[in-house]
Amino acid sequence: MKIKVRLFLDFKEIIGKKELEIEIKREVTIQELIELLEKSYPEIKKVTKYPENYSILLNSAYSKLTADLKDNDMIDLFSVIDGG
Amino acid sequence: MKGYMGKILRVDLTNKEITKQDLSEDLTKQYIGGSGLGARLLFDETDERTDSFGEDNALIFLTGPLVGTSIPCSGRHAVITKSPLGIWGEGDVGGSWGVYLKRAGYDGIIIKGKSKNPVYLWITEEEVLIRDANHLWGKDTYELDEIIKKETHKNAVISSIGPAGEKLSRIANIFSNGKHARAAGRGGLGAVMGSKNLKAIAVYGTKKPEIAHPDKLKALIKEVVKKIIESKKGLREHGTAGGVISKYKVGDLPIKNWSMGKWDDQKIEKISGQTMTNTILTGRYACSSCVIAGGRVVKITDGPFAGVDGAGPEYEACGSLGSLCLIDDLNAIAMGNELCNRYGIDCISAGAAVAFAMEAYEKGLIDENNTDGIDLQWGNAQAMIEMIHKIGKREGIGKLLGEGVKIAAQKIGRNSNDFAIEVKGLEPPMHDPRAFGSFAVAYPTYPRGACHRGCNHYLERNAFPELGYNEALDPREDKGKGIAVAIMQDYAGLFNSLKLCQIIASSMNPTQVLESLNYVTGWDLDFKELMLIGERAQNVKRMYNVRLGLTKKDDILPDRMKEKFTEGGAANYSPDPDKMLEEYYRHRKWSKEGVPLPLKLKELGLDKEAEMMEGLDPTMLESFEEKE
Repeated sequence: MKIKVRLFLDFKEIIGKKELEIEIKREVTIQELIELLEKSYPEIKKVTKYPENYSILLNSAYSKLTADLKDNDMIDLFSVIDGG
Repeated sequence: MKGYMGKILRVDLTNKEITKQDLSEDLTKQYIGGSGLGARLLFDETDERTDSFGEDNALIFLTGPLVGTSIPCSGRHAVITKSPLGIWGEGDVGGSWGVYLKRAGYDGIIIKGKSKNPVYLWITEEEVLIRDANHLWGKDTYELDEIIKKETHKNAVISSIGPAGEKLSRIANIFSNGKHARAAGRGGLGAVMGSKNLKAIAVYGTKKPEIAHPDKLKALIKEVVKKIIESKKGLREHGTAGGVISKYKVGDLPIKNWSMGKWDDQKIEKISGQTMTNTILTGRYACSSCVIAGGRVVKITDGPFAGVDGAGPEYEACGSLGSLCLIDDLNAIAMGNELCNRYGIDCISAGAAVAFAMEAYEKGLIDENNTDGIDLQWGNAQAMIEMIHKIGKREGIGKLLGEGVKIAAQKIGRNSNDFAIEVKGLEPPMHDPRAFGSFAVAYPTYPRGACHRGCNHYLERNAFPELGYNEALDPREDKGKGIAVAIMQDYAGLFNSLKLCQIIASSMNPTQVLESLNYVTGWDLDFKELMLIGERAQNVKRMYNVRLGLTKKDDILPDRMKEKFTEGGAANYSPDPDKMLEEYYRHRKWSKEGVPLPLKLKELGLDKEAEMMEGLDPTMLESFEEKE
């Protein structure tokens, strides 16, 4: 399946791209996709090391990280700054 | 006593009397300090007849045992009083004022009475003086800071009110650290200070609290600092305003007076901390002992908002003066923020008042005759600036808006209360319950009104194993939120009592918080005992409000916050506050009417409060178990 990952804030800065097209041969959850990204772009672990420092949207809407992805899904991956 | 200076200053402004009393160690073991200790003191120093603006109201400033140590992010102080909203009032603030109060030799100050003429206090190790402030009345908080330093000590730290507090605006705060504008006192605590003709309190000293176990504390600090610095890099880089984009994406940032779920991504980026970093940022500010430096320093040298030079807008101001009013001009927001600081107004409430007025204008309930010709269209940045001037000076419609949206709506009528978004008279901070459901019960139950300083949403983003949460809660589920909010109010309340910055609540784990207290004081508390102290404080604050007649009927989430959005990050979720509230009351062992039951109060050692129950209507004390 093909998943589009739109990158924002720290993720965009670290990876150096606005979006990625990921092709995955098996079913994955959003959390598993992030782990795959960590393997391809280890630098993003600076952000993902602290779960409160990032968040996601699935097809522009709220989703749990445990949700299964489907073909042509779009993930927004962005860093979060708490406080205020 | 280790950690404490052992003295509370008492000031009677009516008779110009100053006394020093010993701080009871027994009291510190039950309440610690800050707003927890403040709850006990205010409950005992005032009663249901106390007038917020009367001589009998107590204005209390308190530090905690960690203040003045090297524990990161520990240099804070609390302000406690009966709020002009007619309820429990508390503020929590950083900067360095609390540290220097302790360095002068005091853990806190209790101020009663009213001076005949404007005065300020000058507190040092050697003496405490009440000085004439006639020449300072009318000054804004930035210029005042410079003047008082020249009259006292170049390194004195000053806590003060601006013109809004002098004029008793119900949205006036108390500010410290001059142009770095550290704000305390949502709910009009600045007006209480103004009602006493007290313009400022200047402090300076060199004393330090004793530490019981300095080596253990040093090792703990080393461990904690590393994680804070690593996990809060983004905050250092872009401030809390750096959260605007991400919070907008998840639907947390309110748009157009809480009525829209989606705005424009580019406009959001324009008012973000990231944009601030790339444009007007000139420095970063760190409160005492802070290792993050999340504060912003900004300067604007050209354009219509030139002249801004000082504290930059935080996340809340970017929301309240920005997205809440559909304003996408960061420079205008920075100007609005500085004006709020100078006039001494709460920026959240000021922005909420402007947004309310914009909606009233849109709906034809007010017009240019009411606004002295200001065109209050949504998104009109210049109009927002002009309204803040009016609110700060208490002129024209600004006089009404400066009372807060609840009173403004009561005066305007014609169903304007439908869009006067407040709980118990306090306008909510920029966090939407439709993004983080816990706010649906946190806002109605926090004792000072709609407030996020119970840190409930941290549980919807982090695991807290010591609190019983091995993973973060789902923000869009109702079940469990009542319990989570109660636990987090108790735990986050401990930060307010210790005077630790809540920003590090996700970086410093509960065990480390407990250890920091034990290592400083030499106490040997376990975590259960620590949480009991937190629970005790929350119950005293609740009883303070119950004594004033507040119960479940006042624990109401505004209807607009339950309206489901169809677009945006918060789409398709409407929290159920009634369900969450019942869960909250049950967990706290309060009655169906939200009154702490005698059994719970006695369990917490609150015998005086338990006795009060005997005078209450028995229907107020019906428990959920009785119903079953």
